[in-house]
Amino acid sequence: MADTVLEVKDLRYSYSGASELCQRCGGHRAAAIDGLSLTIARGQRLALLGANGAGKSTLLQLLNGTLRPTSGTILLDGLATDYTRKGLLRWRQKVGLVFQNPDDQLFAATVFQDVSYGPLNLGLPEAEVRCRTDEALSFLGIANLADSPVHMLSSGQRKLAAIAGIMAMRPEVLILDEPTAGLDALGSAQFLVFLDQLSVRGTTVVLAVHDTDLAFSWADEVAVLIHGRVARQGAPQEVLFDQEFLTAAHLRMPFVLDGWRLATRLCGMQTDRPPRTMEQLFRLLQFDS
Amino acid sequence: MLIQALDLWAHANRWHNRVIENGVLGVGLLFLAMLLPPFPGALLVFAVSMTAATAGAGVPIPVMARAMAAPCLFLAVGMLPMLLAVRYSPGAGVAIEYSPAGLATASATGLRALGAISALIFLGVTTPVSSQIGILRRMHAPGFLLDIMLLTYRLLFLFDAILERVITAQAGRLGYRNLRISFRSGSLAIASLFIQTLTRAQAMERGLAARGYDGSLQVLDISRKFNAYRLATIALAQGLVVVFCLAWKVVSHG
Repeated sequence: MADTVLEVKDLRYSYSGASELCQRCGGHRAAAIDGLSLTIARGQRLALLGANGAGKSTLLQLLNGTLRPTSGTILLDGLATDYTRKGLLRWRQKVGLVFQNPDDQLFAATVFQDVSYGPLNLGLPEAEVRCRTDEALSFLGIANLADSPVHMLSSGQRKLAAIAGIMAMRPEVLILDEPTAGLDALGSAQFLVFLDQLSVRGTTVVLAVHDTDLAFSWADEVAVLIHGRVARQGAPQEVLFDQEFLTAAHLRMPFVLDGWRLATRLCGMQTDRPPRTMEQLFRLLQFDS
Repeated sequence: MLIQALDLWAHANRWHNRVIENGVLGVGLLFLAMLLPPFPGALLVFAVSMTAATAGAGVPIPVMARAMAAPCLFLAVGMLPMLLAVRYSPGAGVAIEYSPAGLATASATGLRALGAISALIFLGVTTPVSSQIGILRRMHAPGFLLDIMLLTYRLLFLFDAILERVITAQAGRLGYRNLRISFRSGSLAIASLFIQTLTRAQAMERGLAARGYDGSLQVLDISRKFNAYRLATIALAQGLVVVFCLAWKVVSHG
Protein backbone atom coordinates (compact mmCIF):
# COMPACT_ATOMS: atom_id res chain seq x y z
CA MET A 1 0.00 0.00 0.00
CA ALA A 2 1.30 3.46 -0.90
CA ASP A 3 2.45 5.72 1.93
CA THR A 4 -0.46 8.06 2.63
CA VAL A 5 0.40 11.66 3.50
CA LEU A 6 -3.15 13.00 3.86
CA GLU A 7 -6.32 11.08 4.51
CA VAL A 8 -9.79 12.52 4.79
CA LYS A 9 -12.64 10.52 6.31
CA ASP A 10 -16.32 11.40 6.14
CA LEU A 11 -15.65 15.17 6.13
CA ARG A 12 -18.51 17.66 6.38
CA TYR A 13 -18.45 21.43 6.22
CA SER A 14 -21.19 24.06 5.96
CA TYR A 15 -20.69 27.78 5.60
CA SER A 16 -22.38 29.82 8.31
CA GLY A 17 -25.96 30.72 7.28
CA ALA A 18 -25.86 28.36 4.28
CA SER A 19 -28.65 26.11 5.58
CA GLU A 20 -30.95 29.11 6.20
CA LEU A 21 -30.25 30.42 2.70
CA CYS A 22 -30.83 26.94 1.31
CA GLN A 23 -34.23 26.70 2.98
CA ARG A 24 -35.24 30.12 1.65
CA CYS A 25 -33.99 29.69 -1.91
CA GLY A 26 -34.56 25.97 -2.35
CA GLY A 27 -32.69 23.78 -4.76
CA HIS A 28 -29.22 24.36 -3.28
CA ARG A 29 -27.49 21.98 -0.92
CA ALA A 30 -26.65 23.29 2.54
CA ALA A 31 -23.28 21.57 3.02
CA ALA A 32 -20.33 22.62 0.88
CA ILE A 33 -18.59 19.36 1.80
CA ASP A 34 -20.91 16.48 2.53
CA GLY A 35 -19.37 13.21 3.76
CA LEU A 36 -16.20 13.43 1.67
CA SER A 37 -13.44 10.81 1.89
CA LEU A 38 -10.13 11.01 0.05
CA THR A 39 -6.60 9.63 0.29
CA ILE A 40 -3.48 11.36 -1.01
CA ALA A 41 -0.33 9.26 -1.39
CA ARG A 42 3.10 10.73 -0.67
CA GLY A 43 4.76 12.13 -3.78
CA GLN A 44 1.56 11.75 -5.77
CA ARG A 45 0.21 14.17 -8.38
CA LEU A 46 -3.48 14.40 -7.70
CA ALA A 47 -6.00 16.45 -9.67
CA LEU A 48 -9.29 17.37 -8.02
CA LEU A 49 -11.94 17.88 -10.66
CA GLY A 50 -15.47 19.14 -10.34
CA ALA A 51 -17.98 21.63 -11.64
CA ASN A 52 -18.37 25.11 -10.15
CA GLY A 53 -19.70 24.80 -6.60
CA ALA A 54 -18.71 21.13 -6.29
CA GLY A 55 -16.68 22.01 -3.17
CA LYS A 56 -13.11 21.96 -4.54
CA SER A 57 -11.97 25.28 -3.05
CA THR A 58 -13.62 24.52 0.30
CA LEU A 59 -11.93 21.11 0.41
CA LEU A 60 -8.53 22.67 -0.27
CA GLN A 61 -8.97 25.10 2.62
CA LEU A 62 -9.96 22.21 4.87
CA LEU A 63 -6.86 20.27 3.80
CA ASN A 64 -4.45 22.79 5.36
CA GLY A 65 -6.55 23.76 8.36
CA THR A 66 -7.65 27.17 7.07
CA LEU A 67 -11.25 26.02 7.56
CA ARG A 68 -12.33 23.72 10.37
CA PRO A 69 -14.75 20.92 9.41
CA THR A 70 -18.16 20.55 11.00
CA SER A 71 -17.42 16.83 11.41
CA GLY A 72 -15.08 14.17 10.07
CA THR A 73 -11.37 13.51 10.34
CA ILE A 74 -8.26 14.65 8.51
CA LEU A 75 -5.14 12.55 9.08
CA LEU A 76 -1.73 14.03 8.33
CA ASP A 77 1.03 11.40 8.23
CA GLY A 78 -1.45 9.02 9.90
CA LEU A 79 -2.07 11.33 12.86
CA ALA A 80 -5.29 13.22 13.51
CA THR A 81 -4.81 16.91 12.86
CA ASP A 82 -5.30 19.30 15.74
CA TYR A 83 -6.40 22.91 15.57
CA THR A 84 -4.24 24.25 18.38
CA ARG A 85 -1.79 27.04 17.52
CA LYS A 86 1.14 24.62 17.55
CA GLY A 87 -0.79 21.98 15.61
CA LEU A 88 -1.82 24.45 12.91
CA LEU A 89 1.76 25.75 12.56
CA ARG A 90 3.07 22.21 11.98
CA TRP A 91 0.18 21.45 9.62
CA ARG A 92 0.66 24.57 7.49
CA GLN A 93 4.38 24.00 7.35
CA LYS A 94 3.72 20.58 5.84
CA VAL A 95 0.72 21.46 3.68
CA GLY A 96 0.93 24.69 1.69
CA LEU A 97 -2.11 26.16 -0.02
CA VAL A 98 -2.06 28.58 -2.95
CA PHE A 99 -5.39 30.34 -3.40
CA GLN A 100 -7.11 30.82 -6.74
CA ASN A 101 -7.03 34.61 -6.44
CA PRO A 102 -3.48 35.74 -5.63
CA ASP A 103 -4.86 38.94 -4.06
CA ASP A 104 -6.23 36.74 -1.24
CA GLN A 105 -2.64 36.03 -0.28
CA LEU A 106 -0.50 38.98 -1.29
CA PHE A 107 -0.61 41.69 1.35
CA ALA A 108 2.89 43.12 1.45
CA ALA A 109 4.22 46.06 -0.52
CA THR A 110 6.87 44.18 -2.53
CA VAL A 111 7.27 40.64 -3.80
CA PHE A 112 10.33 39.99 -1.62
CA GLN A 113 8.52 41.16 1.51
CA ASP A 114 5.51 38.99 0.75
CA VAL A 115 7.49 35.83 0.05
CA SER A 116 9.48 36.28 3.27
CA TYR A 117 6.29 36.35 5.35
CA GLY A 118 5.62 32.58 5.56
CA PRO A 119 9.19 31.53 6.45
CA LEU A 120 9.33 34.26 9.13
CA ASN A 121 6.16 32.82 10.66
CA LEU A 122 7.95 29.48 10.92
CA GLY A 123 10.37 31.17 13.31
CA LEU A 124 13.39 30.75 11.04
CA PRO A 125 16.48 32.98 11.42
CA GLU A 126 16.75 35.97 9.06
CA ALA A 127 19.59 34.49 6.99
CA GLU A 128 17.59 31.32 6.35
CA VAL A 129 14.49 33.35 5.44
CA ARG A 130 16.51 35.38 2.91
CA CYS A 131 17.97 32.20 1.46
CA ARG A 132 14.54 30.55 1.09
CA THR A 133 12.99 33.71 -0.35
CA ASP A 134 15.74 34.07 -2.97
CA GLU A 135 15.52 30.37 -3.80
CA ALA A 136 11.72 30.40 -4.27
CA LEU A 137 11.90 33.52 -6.46
CA SER A 138 14.69 32.03 -8.60
CA PHE A 139 12.91 28.67 -8.89
CA LEU A 140 9.84 30.39 -10.32
CA GLY A 141 11.92 32.68 -12.52
CA ILE A 142 10.74 35.90 -10.86
CA ALA A 143 13.91 36.95 -9.02
CA ASN A 144 13.89 40.12 -11.15
CA LEU A 145 10.55 41.08 -9.57
CA ALA A 146 11.80 40.88 -5.96
CA ASP A 147 11.72 44.63 -5.41
CA SER A 148 8.58 45.25 -7.49
CA PRO A 149 5.45 46.53 -5.81
CA VAL A 150 2.73 43.88 -5.80
CA HIS A 151 0.07 46.16 -7.28
CA MET A 152 2.18 46.78 -10.39
CA LEU A 153 2.43 43.08 -11.31
CA SER A 154 0.36 41.39 -14.01
CA SER A 155 -2.12 38.74 -12.87
CA GLY A 156 0.25 35.96 -14.02
CA GLN A 157 3.16 37.51 -12.11
CA ARG A 158 0.96 37.90 -9.00
CA LYS A 159 0.07 34.21 -9.27
CA LEU A 160 3.75 33.23 -9.39
CA ALA A 161 4.49 35.54 -6.43
CA ALA A 162 1.70 33.86 -4.43
CA ILE A 163 3.12 30.41 -5.27
CA ALA A 164 6.63 31.58 -4.29
CA GLY A 165 5.20 32.67 -0.92
CA ILE A 166 4.11 29.09 -0.23
CA MET A 167 7.16 27.48 -1.86
CA ALA A 168 9.44 29.39 0.51
CA MET A 169 7.79 27.51 3.39
CA ARG A 170 8.99 24.26 1.73
CA PRO A 171 5.79 22.26 2.24
CA GLU A 172 5.70 18.48 1.75
CA VAL A 173 2.29 18.83 0.15
CA LEU A 174 1.59 21.73 -2.21
CA ILE A 175 -2.08 22.42 -2.91
CA LEU A 176 -3.00 24.79 -5.71
CA ASP A 177 -6.45 26.10 -6.51
CA GLU A 178 -6.90 26.65 -10.27
CA PRO A 179 -3.22 27.47 -10.74
CA THR A 180 -3.36 28.03 -14.49
CA ALA A 181 -6.31 30.44 -14.34
CA GLY A 182 -5.02 33.85 -15.41
CA LEU A 183 -1.88 32.44 -17.03
CA ASP A 184 -1.39 32.61 -20.78
CA ALA A 185 -0.52 29.51 -22.83
CA LEU A 186 3.24 29.97 -22.39
CA GLY A 187 2.83 30.73 -18.69
CA SER A 188 0.72 27.58 -18.23
CA ALA A 189 3.29 25.43 -20.05
CA GLN A 190 6.12 26.87 -17.91
CA PHE A 191 4.03 26.30 -14.83
CA LEU A 192 3.58 22.61 -15.66
CA VAL A 193 7.36 22.27 -16.03
CA PHE A 194 7.70 23.83 -12.58
CA LEU A 195 5.18 21.29 -11.19
CA ASP A 196 7.19 18.45 -12.75
CA GLN A 197 10.35 19.76 -11.08
CA LEU A 198 8.53 19.82 -7.75
CA SER A 199 7.37 16.23 -8.23
CA VAL A 200 10.94 15.16 -8.98
CA ARG A 201 11.93 16.69 -5.63
CA GLY A 202 9.33 14.44 -3.98
CA THR A 203 6.71 17.10 -3.21
CA THR A 204 3.14 15.87 -3.22
CA VAL A 205 1.14 18.16 -5.52
CA VAL A 206 -2.64 18.54 -5.46
CA LEU A 207 -4.36 20.68 -8.09
CA ALA A 208 -7.99 21.74 -8.17
CA VAL A 209 -8.90 22.31 -11.80
CA HIS A 210 -11.76 22.42 -14.28
CA ASP A 211 -9.53 21.49 -17.16
CA THR A 212 -9.82 17.74 -17.77
CA ASP A 213 -7.12 17.91 -20.48
CA LEU A 214 -4.63 19.25 -17.95
CA ALA A 215 -5.70 16.73 -15.30
CA PHE A 216 -5.48 13.84 -17.76
CA SER A 217 -2.01 14.66 -19.08
CA TRP A 218 -0.49 15.67 -15.75
CA ALA A 219 -2.01 13.69 -12.85
CA ASP A 220 -1.14 10.26 -11.48
CA GLU A 221 -4.65 10.11 -10.09
CA VAL A 222 -7.83 12.16 -10.33
CA ALA A 223 -10.66 12.62 -7.83
CA VAL A 224 -13.98 13.94 -9.13
CA LEU A 225 -16.19 15.90 -6.75
CA ILE A 226 -19.95 16.01 -7.13
CA HIS A 227 -22.05 17.92 -4.57
CA GLY A 228 -19.31 18.01 -1.93
CA ARG A 229 -18.31 14.34 -2.18
CA VAL A 230 -15.62 12.43 -4.02
CA ALA A 231 -17.73 10.52 -6.52
CA ARG A 232 -14.74 8.69 -7.99
CA GLN A 233 -11.00 8.55 -7.37
CA GLY A 234 -8.62 6.60 -9.56
CA ALA A 235 -6.37 6.52 -12.60
CA PRO A 236 -7.18 9.34 -15.09
CA GLN A 237 -7.64 6.98 -18.04
CA GLU A 238 -10.29 5.05 -16.10
CA VAL A 239 -12.18 7.86 -14.38
CA LEU A 240 -12.13 10.25 -17.34
CA PHE A 241 -13.14 7.66 -19.91
CA ASP A 242 -16.64 7.18 -18.50
CA GLN A 243 -18.77 9.56 -20.58
CA GLU A 244 -21.93 8.99 -18.54
CA PHE A 245 -20.14 9.73 -15.30
CA LEU A 246 -18.46 12.82 -16.74
CA THR A 247 -21.80 14.19 -17.91
CA ALA A 248 -23.19 13.75 -14.39
CA ALA A 249 -20.15 15.60 -13.03
CA HIS A 250 -20.57 18.43 -15.58
CA LEU A 251 -17.17 17.66 -17.07
CA ARG A 252 -16.06 16.79 -20.56
CA MET A 253 -13.87 13.97 -21.72
CA PRO A 254 -10.22 14.97 -22.31
CA PHE A 255 -9.52 15.73 -25.96
CA VAL A 256 -6.91 12.96 -26.29
CA LEU A 257 -9.22 10.33 -24.77
CA ASP A 258 -12.13 11.50 -26.90
CA GLY A 259 -9.95 11.26 -30.02
CA TRP A 260 -8.82 7.78 -29.04
CA ARG A 261 -12.43 6.73 -28.38
CA LEU A 262 -13.48 7.98 -31.81
CA ALA A 263 -10.46 6.35 -33.47
CA THR A 264 -11.23 2.97 -31.90
CA ARG A 265 -14.91 3.23 -32.79
CA LEU A 266 -14.70 4.71 -36.31
CA CYS A 267 -11.36 3.34 -37.55
CA GLY A 268 -11.43 0.11 -35.58
CA MET A 269 -8.08 0.92 -33.97
CA GLN A 270 -7.02 -1.90 -31.63
CA THR A 271 -5.10 -0.78 -28.52
CA ASP A 272 -5.52 -1.63 -24.87
CA ARG A 273 -3.76 1.35 -23.34
CA PRO A 274 -5.19 4.78 -24.05
CA PRO A 275 -2.68 7.51 -24.96
CA ARG A 276 -1.86 10.20 -22.39
CA THR A 277 -0.73 12.90 -24.73
CA MET A 278 -1.56 14.23 -28.17
CA GLU A 279 1.77 12.93 -29.46
CA GLN A 280 0.99 9.40 -28.25
CA LEU A 281 -2.43 9.57 -29.92
CA PHE A 282 -0.91 10.60 -33.27
CA ARG A 283 1.72 7.86 -33.03
CA LEU A 284 -1.04 5.30 -32.43
CA LEU A 285 -3.04 6.62 -35.38
CA GLN A 286 0.07 6.64 -37.58
CA PHE A 287 1.02 3.09 -36.56
CA ASP A 288 -2.55 1.83 -37.10
CA SER A 289 -2.85 3.33 -40.58
CA MET B 1 -4.87 59.40 -10.24
CA LEU B 2 -2.19 61.47 -8.48
CA ILE B 3 -1.39 58.88 -5.84
CA GLN B 4 -0.67 56.29 -8.54
CA ALA B 5 1.57 58.70 -10.41
CA LEU B 6 3.51 59.49 -7.23
CA ASP B 7 3.85 55.80 -6.38
CA LEU B 8 5.04 55.06 -9.91
CA TRP B 9 7.71 57.77 -9.72
CA ALA B 10 8.75 56.55 -6.27
CA HIS B 11 9.74 53.30 -7.99
CA ALA B 12 10.90 54.75 -11.29
CA ASN B 13 13.06 57.72 -10.21
CA ARG B 14 16.88 57.63 -10.42
CA TRP B 15 17.30 57.61 -6.63
CA HIS B 16 14.71 54.93 -5.74
CA ASN B 17 17.41 52.58 -4.43
CA ARG B 18 19.09 55.26 -2.27
CA VAL B 19 16.66 54.66 0.56
CA ILE B 20 18.91 55.63 3.45
CA GLU B 21 20.32 58.69 1.68
CA ASN B 22 16.81 59.87 0.71
CA GLY B 23 15.64 59.35 4.29
CA VAL B 24 18.53 61.36 5.75
CA LEU B 25 18.02 64.17 3.24
CA GLY B 26 14.20 64.29 3.54
CA VAL B 27 13.99 64.01 7.33
CA GLY B 28 16.95 66.37 7.75
CA LEU B 29 15.31 69.01 5.57
CA LEU B 30 12.06 68.55 7.48
CA PHE B 31 13.83 69.34 10.74
CA LEU B 32 15.61 72.31 9.18
CA ALA B 33 12.25 73.68 7.95
CA MET B 34 10.93 73.53 11.48
CA LEU B 35 14.01 74.82 13.29
CA LEU B 36 15.48 77.51 11.02
CA PRO B 37 13.95 80.99 10.63
CA PRO B 38 11.19 80.75 8.00
CA PHE B 39 12.95 83.33 5.84
CA PRO B 40 15.24 82.36 4.28
CA GLY B 41 15.49 78.90 5.99
CA ALA B 42 12.20 77.34 4.87
CA LEU B 43 12.58 78.85 1.40
CA LEU B 44 16.02 77.28 1.09
CA VAL B 45 14.61 73.92 2.24
CA PHE B 46 11.92 74.23 -0.43
CA ALA B 47 14.51 75.02 -3.10
CA VAL B 48 16.81 72.14 -2.07
CA SER B 49 13.89 69.64 -1.93
CA MET B 50 12.55 70.60 -5.34
CA THR B 51 16.00 70.64 -6.97
CA ALA B 52 16.92 67.28 -5.46
CA ALA B 53 13.62 65.71 -6.60
CA THR B 54 13.62 67.11 -10.14
CA ALA B 55 17.26 67.60 -11.13
CA GLY B 56 18.64 64.85 -8.90
CA ALA B 57 16.08 62.06 -8.84
CA GLY B 58 14.61 62.96 -12.23
CA VAL B 59 10.99 63.38 -11.17
CA PRO B 60 9.26 65.58 -13.78
CA ILE B 61 8.43 69.13 -12.67
CA PRO B 62 4.69 68.76 -13.54
CA VAL B 63 4.48 65.71 -11.24
CA MET B 64 6.07 67.67 -8.39
CA ALA B 65 3.79 70.63 -9.11
CA ARG B 66 0.71 68.37 -8.96
CA ALA B 67 1.98 66.79 -5.74
CA MET B 68 2.49 70.20 -4.14
CA ALA B 69 -0.80 71.67 -5.37
CA ALA B 70 -3.24 70.04 -2.93
CA PRO B 71 -1.26 70.68 0.31
CA CYS B 72 -0.52 74.24 -0.85
CA LEU B 73 -4.24 74.82 -1.37
CA PHE B 74 -4.95 73.62 2.18
CA LEU B 75 -2.12 75.83 3.39
CA ALA B 76 -3.53 78.89 1.60
CA VAL B 77 -7.01 78.29 3.04
CA GLY B 78 -5.48 77.92 6.50
CA MET B 79 -3.46 81.15 6.14
CA LEU B 80 -6.41 83.32 5.15
CA PRO B 81 -7.91 83.68 8.66
CA MET B 82 -4.47 84.73 9.96
CA LEU B 83 -4.57 87.82 7.72
CA LEU B 84 -7.78 89.00 9.30
CA ALA B 85 -8.53 90.48 12.69
CA VAL B 86 -11.89 90.79 14.43
CA ARG B 87 -12.37 94.21 16.02
CA TYR B 88 -15.21 95.35 18.25
CA SER B 89 -16.03 98.96 18.90
CA PRO B 90 -19.14 100.14 20.77
CA GLY B 91 -20.19 102.39 17.91
CA ALA B 92 -19.48 100.27 14.85
CA GLY B 93 -20.00 96.86 16.40
CA VAL B 94 -18.05 93.83 15.18
CA ALA B 95 -15.78 94.41 12.17
CA ILE B 96 -13.46 92.03 10.31
CA GLU B 97 -10.45 93.77 8.82
CA TYR B 98 -6.98 93.15 7.39
CA SER B 99 -4.28 92.80 10.03
CA PRO B 100 -0.68 93.83 9.21
CA ALA B 101 0.54 91.84 12.24
CA GLY B 102 -1.36 88.81 10.88
CA LEU B 103 0.55 89.07 7.62
CA ALA B 104 3.86 88.43 9.40
CA THR B 105 2.42 85.45 11.28
CA ALA B 106 0.77 84.04 8.15
CA SER B 107 3.88 84.38 6.00
CA ALA B 108 6.12 82.81 8.68
CA THR B 109 3.71 79.90 9.19
CA GLY B 110 3.13 79.50 5.47
CA LEU B 111 6.82 79.47 4.60
CA ARG B 112 7.64 77.00 7.37
CA ALA B 113 4.79 74.70 6.28
CA LEU B 114 5.81 74.99 2.62
CA GLY B 115 9.37 73.94 3.45
CA ALA B 116 8.18 71.02 5.57
CA ILE B 117 5.71 69.86 2.89
CA SER B 118 8.34 70.00 0.16
CA ALA B 119 10.75 67.90 2.27
CA LEU B 120 8.05 65.28 2.89
CA ILE B 121 7.00 65.21 -0.75
CA PHE B 122 10.64 64.80 -1.76
CA LEU B 123 10.79 61.72 0.46
CA GLY B 124 7.44 60.39 -0.78
CA VAL B 125 8.19 60.79 -4.45
CA THR B 126 11.76 59.44 -4.39
CA THR B 127 11.47 56.55 -1.92
CA PRO B 128 9.00 53.65 -2.31
CA VAL B 129 6.66 53.18 0.66
CA SER B 130 7.84 49.58 0.99
CA SER B 131 11.42 50.80 1.52
CA GLN B 132 10.28 53.48 3.98
CA ILE B 133 8.48 50.79 6.01
CA GLY B 134 11.58 48.60 5.84
CA ILE B 135 13.74 51.40 7.26
CA LEU B 136 11.18 52.16 9.98
CA ARG B 137 11.20 48.46 10.90
CA ARG B 138 14.99 48.55 11.22
CA MET B 139 14.58 51.60 13.47
CA HIS B 140 12.26 49.48 15.69
CA ALA B 141 9.13 51.53 15.03
CA PRO B 142 6.01 49.99 16.71
CA GLY B 143 4.99 46.82 14.85
CA PHE B 144 1.26 47.52 14.81
CA LEU B 145 1.88 50.91 13.20
CA LEU B 146 3.97 49.33 10.44
CA ASP B 147 1.33 46.60 9.92
CA ILE B 148 -1.31 49.30 9.44
CA MET B 149 0.96 51.22 7.03
CA LEU B 150 1.66 48.05 5.04
CA LEU B 151 -1.99 47.02 4.77
CA THR B 152 -3.17 50.55 4.00
CA TYR B 153 -0.63 50.84 1.19
CA ARG B 154 -1.56 47.45 -0.32
CA LEU B 155 -5.33 47.81 0.09
CA LEU B 156 -5.39 51.34 -1.27
CA PHE B 157 -4.41 50.08 -4.70
CA LEU B 158 -6.55 46.95 -4.41
CA PHE B 159 -9.66 49.01 -3.62
CA ASP B 160 -8.82 51.55 -6.27
CA ALA B 161 -8.76 48.71 -8.82
CA ILE B 162 -12.13 47.42 -7.54
CA LEU B 163 -13.70 50.88 -7.68
CA GLU B 164 -12.35 51.45 -11.19
CA ARG B 165 -13.88 48.14 -12.36
CA VAL B 166 -17.25 48.98 -10.79
CA ILE B 167 -17.32 52.48 -12.32
CA THR B 168 -16.30 51.14 -15.75
CA ALA B 169 -19.07 48.53 -15.56
CA GLN B 170 -21.59 51.21 -14.56
CA ALA B 171 -20.45 53.59 -17.30
CA GLY B 172 -20.90 50.78 -19.83
CA ARG B 173 -24.55 50.68 -18.84
CA LEU B 174 -24.95 54.48 -19.06
CA GLY B 175 -24.63 54.87 -15.29
CA TYR B 176 -23.06 58.33 -15.63
CA ARG B 177 -25.39 59.76 -18.29
CA ASN B 178 -26.43 62.80 -16.28
CA LEU B 179 -25.81 64.33 -12.88
CA ARG B 180 -28.76 62.66 -11.13
CA ILE B 181 -27.87 59.21 -12.41
CA SER B 182 -24.20 59.87 -11.70
CA PHE B 183 -24.96 60.59 -8.04
CA ARG B 184 -26.98 57.39 -7.81
CA SER B 185 -24.29 55.32 -9.56
CA GLY B 186 -21.58 56.86 -7.41
CA SER B 187 -23.40 55.99 -4.21
CA LEU B 188 -24.01 52.44 -5.44
CA ALA B 189 -20.33 52.13 -6.35
CA ILE B 190 -19.31 53.20 -2.84
CA ALA B 191 -21.82 50.76 -1.30
CA SER B 192 -20.43 48.00 -3.52
CA LEU B 193 -16.88 48.91 -2.53
CA PHE B 194 -17.86 48.61 1.14
CA ILE B 195 -19.21 45.08 0.63
CA GLN B 196 -16.26 44.06 -1.52
CA THR B 197 -13.89 45.48 1.07
CA LEU B 198 -15.36 43.21 3.73
CA THR B 199 -15.23 40.19 1.40
CA ARG B 200 -11.65 41.00 0.41
CA ALA B 201 -10.64 41.43 4.07
CA GLN B 202 -12.13 38.02 4.93
CA ALA B 203 -10.41 36.38 1.96
CA MET B 204 -7.09 37.99 2.88
CA GLU B 205 -7.47 36.82 6.47
CA ARG B 206 -7.90 33.24 5.19
CA GLY B 207 -4.92 33.69 2.88
CA LEU B 208 -2.74 34.92 5.74
CA ALA B 209 -3.98 32.13 8.04
CA ALA B 210 -2.82 29.60 5.44
CA ARG B 211 0.70 31.02 5.84
CA GLY B 212 0.74 30.88 9.62
CA TYR B 213 -0.58 34.37 10.49
CA ASP B 214 -0.22 34.83 14.24
CA GLY B 215 -1.32 38.43 14.66
CA SER B 216 1.67 40.24 13.22
CA LEU B 217 2.69 40.92 9.63
CA GLN B 218 6.42 40.37 9.86
CA VAL B 219 8.26 40.69 6.57
CA LEU B 220 11.86 41.11 5.46
CA ASP B 221 13.05 43.74 3.08
CA ILE B 222 15.86 43.50 0.56
CA SER B 223 19.14 44.51 2.21
CA ARG B 224 19.89 48.19 1.65
CA LYS B 225 23.38 49.62 1.50
CA PHE B 226 24.31 53.28 1.73
CA ASN B 227 27.07 55.30 0.21
CA ALA B 228 29.13 57.25 2.76
CA TYR B 229 30.23 59.77 0.12
CA ARG B 230 26.60 60.58 -0.72
CA LEU B 231 25.71 60.87 2.98
CA ALA B 232 28.60 63.29 3.45
CA THR B 233 27.37 65.35 0.47
CA ILE B 234 23.87 65.48 1.99
CA ALA B 235 25.27 66.57 5.36
CA LEU B 236 27.31 69.25 3.57
CA ALA B 237 24.23 70.54 1.70
CA GLN B 238 22.23 70.70 4.91
CA GLY B 239 25.13 72.40 6.66
CA LEU B 240 25.31 75.01 3.90
CA VAL B 241 21.59 75.76 4.39
CA VAL B 242 22.22 76.35 8.11
CA VAL B 243 25.33 78.50 7.46
CA PHE B 244 23.51 80.57 4.83
CA CYS B 245 20.63 81.20 7.24
CA LEU B 246 22.95 82.25 10.04
CA ALA B 247 24.89 84.54 7.69
CA TRP B 248 21.63 86.08 6.46
CA LYS B 249 20.55 86.72 10.06
CA VAL B 250 23.86 88.38 10.91
CA VAL B 251 23.85 90.56 7.77
CA SER B 252 20.19 91.58 8.11
CA HIS B 253 20.70 92.58 11.77
CA GLY B 254 24.03 94.06 11.30
